[in-house]
Amino acid sequence: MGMAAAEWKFHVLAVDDSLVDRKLIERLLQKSSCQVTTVDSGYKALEFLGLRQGIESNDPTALSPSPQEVEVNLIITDYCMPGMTAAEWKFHVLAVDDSLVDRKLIERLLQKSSCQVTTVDSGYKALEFLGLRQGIESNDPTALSPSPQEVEVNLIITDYCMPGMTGYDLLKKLKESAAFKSIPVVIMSSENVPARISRCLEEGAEEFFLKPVRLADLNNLKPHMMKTKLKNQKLEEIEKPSNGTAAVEPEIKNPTEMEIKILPLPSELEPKQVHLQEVQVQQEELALSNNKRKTMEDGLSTARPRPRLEGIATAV
Amino acid sequence: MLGLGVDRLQADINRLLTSLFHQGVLDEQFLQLQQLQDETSPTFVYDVINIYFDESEKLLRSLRLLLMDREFSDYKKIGLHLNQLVGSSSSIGARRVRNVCVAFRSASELNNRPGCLRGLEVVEHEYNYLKNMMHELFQLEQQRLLAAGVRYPM
Repeated sequence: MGMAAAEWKFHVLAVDDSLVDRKLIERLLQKSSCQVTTVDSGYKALEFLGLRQGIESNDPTALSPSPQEVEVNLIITDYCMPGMTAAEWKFHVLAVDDSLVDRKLIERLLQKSSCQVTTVDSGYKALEFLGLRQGIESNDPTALSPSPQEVEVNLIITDYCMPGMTGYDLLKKLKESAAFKSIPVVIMSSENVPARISRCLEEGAEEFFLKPVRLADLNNLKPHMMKTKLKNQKLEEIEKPSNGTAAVEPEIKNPTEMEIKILPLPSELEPKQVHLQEVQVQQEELALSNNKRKTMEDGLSTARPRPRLEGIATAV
Repeated sequence: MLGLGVDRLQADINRLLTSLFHQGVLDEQFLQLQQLQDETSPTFVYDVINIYFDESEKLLRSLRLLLMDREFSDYKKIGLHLNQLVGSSSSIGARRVRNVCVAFRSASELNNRPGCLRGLEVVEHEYNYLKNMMHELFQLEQQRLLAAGVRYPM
C-alpha cells in the first residue's frame, strides 16, 4: 500500500489549561485512534506549531520541535483560558489595494496563512474601517463603519500606488495617530524603487514587499503581528482581572466551551470526522473579559479558520 | 477500469501548461495561483483569472478609445491604465502580456502616438492569445472534473 499505517493516524493538538480536561480529551482522542499532544496554553500551542518568534516564554519546559517534524491534523482548544483565549490566535489583517485582482490574491494568501482578512479598495476606506473618521470625507454609501473597540487589526498591508491616498500617505496618517501607530504596516509595490522603499521604511513601515507577493513573504509577518496581540493581551490584563477557567468540568457530551476547528481532510478519510463536530462558540456563556473577542461568526472573513500547517492542504 | 479519460485529460492539461510556460506566456506566478487553490477555495484560479479578464478588457477598451481620438493628448492617462495592466498581469503570471504592456508604456512616456498604436495592437494580440489559452485550459479542467466523476461498475 502507498500509505504506511502510522500515516493513517491523525495527530491532534489539544489545548486546555485544566489538567483534568487535558486528561479527558487525551483519552477521548486516543479512543478515536488519534495521536495526541496536549499543552496547557495558547502560547505553548503556537510554540509547538513553530510560531516561536516574538513570543516571550520564560518557561523552561517550553516545547520546541522543528516545524517540519510535526504534522498536526487538528487543534482542539478550550475557549476560556487565562492569557490567550482561543479566538485570539487568529490574526486579523486589513489589506488595502485598488486593484480587484490584487485584492483577491492578497486575501487568498492571507487566508492560506490562517489570517482573517478584511479588504478595502482605498486608504480612505481603510481609515474609516479603523475608525479614524474625523476629517475624512466619505460619500460612499457602502462605507464600512464598525466601532473601533470591536475591531482588532493586527497588521495593515497596503499597495503603494493608489489614486487619491497612496500607501505612503496612509502609512503617515496611521503613524500620526495615537490609537493606530502601533499597528504594523507593510507596503506592497510592483515597482522596485529604492528611494520609495527607504522612504516607507523610514516612515515606520515594517516591511516592503515587491509584487507579486508570495506566501513565504507573509510568513515573515507573524512575529510582527504577534507583538500587537501580546501587547493587547497585556493591556487587557491590566484593565480587568484575568478570567478564571470554568469552575465546573465541562460535560464531554455538550462541548459548548470547546471551539473546534476542522481541517478539510481528503475525502477518503472522512469517516474519521464523525467523532468531531463543529460547534458554535456560545458567547454569552463565556466569561467575557474584554470586548475585542471575535466570534466564529465573524462576518469579515469568508474563509473557514485553518491553522497554517505544511503538508495538509497539498493536493495528491 | 477507472478514469482513463481523467489520465488523458490530465496529460492534455499538463501539455498545454508546459507549452505556455515554454512560450513565456505564463510564468511561475501562475503556479503560485494554483497553489493557493484547494478544497476551501476550489475555484480560486478560475475566479481570479475572470476578474483579470473583466478588468483588462475595460482597460483595453478605454485605451483604444483614447488613441482613436484624433485630438488625443492624454498620455498620462494611458500610462495610468498601463500601470494597472502591468500590475494585474504580473499578479496572475501573464508574463508576455505584462512585457508588451511595459513596452507600450515606454512609447506613451515618449508621447509617441504611432508607437502607442502599435503597442496597443501588440497588447491586444497577446491578451487575446492568453484568453483563448485560458479558456482551453478551463475547458479541459472542466472535462477532467466530469470524467473523474464517472465510475465504472466493477
